[in-house]
Amino acid sequence: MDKINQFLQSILTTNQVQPESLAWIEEKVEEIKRDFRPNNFFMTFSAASRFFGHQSIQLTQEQQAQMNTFDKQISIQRWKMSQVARIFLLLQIPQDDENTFVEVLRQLWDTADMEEAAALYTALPLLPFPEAFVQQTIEGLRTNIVPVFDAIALHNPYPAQYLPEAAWNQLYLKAAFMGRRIYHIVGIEKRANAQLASTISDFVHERWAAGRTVPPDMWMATPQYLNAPLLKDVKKLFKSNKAIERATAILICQESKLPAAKKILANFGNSTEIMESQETSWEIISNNWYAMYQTM
Amino acid sequence: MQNETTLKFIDPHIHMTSRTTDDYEAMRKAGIVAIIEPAFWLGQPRTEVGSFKDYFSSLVGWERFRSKQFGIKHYCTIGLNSKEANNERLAEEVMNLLPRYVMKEGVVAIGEIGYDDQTKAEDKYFRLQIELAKEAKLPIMVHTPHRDKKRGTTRSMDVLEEMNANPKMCVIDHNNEETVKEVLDRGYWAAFTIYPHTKMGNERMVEILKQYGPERIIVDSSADWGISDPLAVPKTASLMLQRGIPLAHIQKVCYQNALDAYGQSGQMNENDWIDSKGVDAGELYEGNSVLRGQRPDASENLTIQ
Ligand SMILES: [Zn+2]
Repeated sequence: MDKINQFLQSILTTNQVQPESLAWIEEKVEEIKRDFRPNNFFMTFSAASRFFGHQSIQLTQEQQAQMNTFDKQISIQRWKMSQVARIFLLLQIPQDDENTFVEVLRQLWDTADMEEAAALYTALPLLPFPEAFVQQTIEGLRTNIVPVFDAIALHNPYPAQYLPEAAWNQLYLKAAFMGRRIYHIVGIEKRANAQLASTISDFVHERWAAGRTVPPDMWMATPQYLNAPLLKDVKKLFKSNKAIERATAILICQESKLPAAKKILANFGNSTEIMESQETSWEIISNNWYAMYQTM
Repeated sequence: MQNETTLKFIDPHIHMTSRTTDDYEAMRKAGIVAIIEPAFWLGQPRTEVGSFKDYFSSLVGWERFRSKQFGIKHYCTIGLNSKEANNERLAEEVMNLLPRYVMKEGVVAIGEIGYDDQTKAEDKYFRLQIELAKEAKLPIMVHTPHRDKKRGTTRSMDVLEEMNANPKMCVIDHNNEETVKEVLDRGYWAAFTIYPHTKMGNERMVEILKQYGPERIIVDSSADWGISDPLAVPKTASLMLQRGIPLAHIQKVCYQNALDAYGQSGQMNENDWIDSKGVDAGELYEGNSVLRGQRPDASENLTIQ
């Protein structure tokens, strides 16, 4: 934890922040260490955006190299300056007593504005006592405020690690409904399950019935759980007149360990497309699709 | 210099929590780029401090997000309104809650605070909140009473001065012809709420501008859950144009003065809605000035309350 502390602090200094802003945060850290008072901390947490804006951060080469020594699924490079500052402050809260720590966090969530809420959820994978924030995260997923939802659902390893299955499935489905990029959800392979796969099939049928397209990364959680309706869906994808949907079908079958999938692949896969798809991946397919259909 | 087709507006007093998405759409089309939503009375008295907490949270959270969907930048003021200051048990708890919100982003003032019935309790919490505003270095939005207005307005300013609040940091709202002179003479910003229904009202605003000029005068709608018009600011601007008020004066009272007054919070900046190329971010969402597309009907009934 000391390592990540230092790392966040180094980001604050290398991003050409005003000297007054650095002095301010140093003073606050001292104050927290000397005499931690929740009411003062709430004000400090809010005031942080007056000193550290919402622009994206730049990492030095050295910092990028250092990133690789942390959990690679924590995407610090995507954080905003204000988030780095706020999360750095969160990590200064005394951690010797779980109840105190959790209560302070609960109160922060309770009165958070949009940016504060996003920072709190972004911080989840770095917080001590992670199990204590499961309910808060489930509650957070009910939001319709896109930046807050994204902070939980995308580029964040916490949900895959701690959410129960029903909540995790809910996250996946809601991300689809909100038009978020499924590919940016962390840990899909690990958390895929039969229930989710069959819900995806229902979701896709609804979309098709409405004459709408489905982003290919929607299928990411299905390869190991292809039941009869899903196998039918995959066949339908193979017959699509869109190359990207055929490529998606190939990728699903290639990733699947199920014999039924291999059989479909042998029957349907056009040989050149399969050759090309050797180099394909969910990342490439997802990028191509969003480049074609959406400006995100 | 702005011309008719590029006039932008700020409505520095509007309660969007009580308004619909149709309003947001119409406001955006009419050229409103930024709004300030003061914390106020919801019509139904609150009985728990938690209701205040969730209300304040929605002002800095959900409503801010909702507004953004329509290309309008949303700010708010935080405070205990004068009506509910009379519930002293609750008022104490709300006072303890306020410090949690005053430092939040986009909180541009303490408000709306002041007098309703001019009771002792109202006086107590008005003073406590002036103190809070001074500590937080935030402007103050003062609601003046609808009954006994002239005396209540004078008293509000007396108390502000007694507490050493800087008049330049205070906006006195809901003025009329009877109060404006004293408010301006004493160095305060003077805001006017334009309410629908009598044709005279809108015309009255024009007359006030002709008499006093545009310095430190601010026009707002105070639109809420009652009969009110979220387009009051652009409609009044349109009438001003027709009555020959110079464009520069209209720009001041319908945009710049509000920005100057509440910008003193450090939380409201033109860059929040105009990018480096000078393009108003909201235009990407749709439309632009009302005065370009559908001109607001200036003959529509508006009045100063
Ligand atoms: Zn009001």
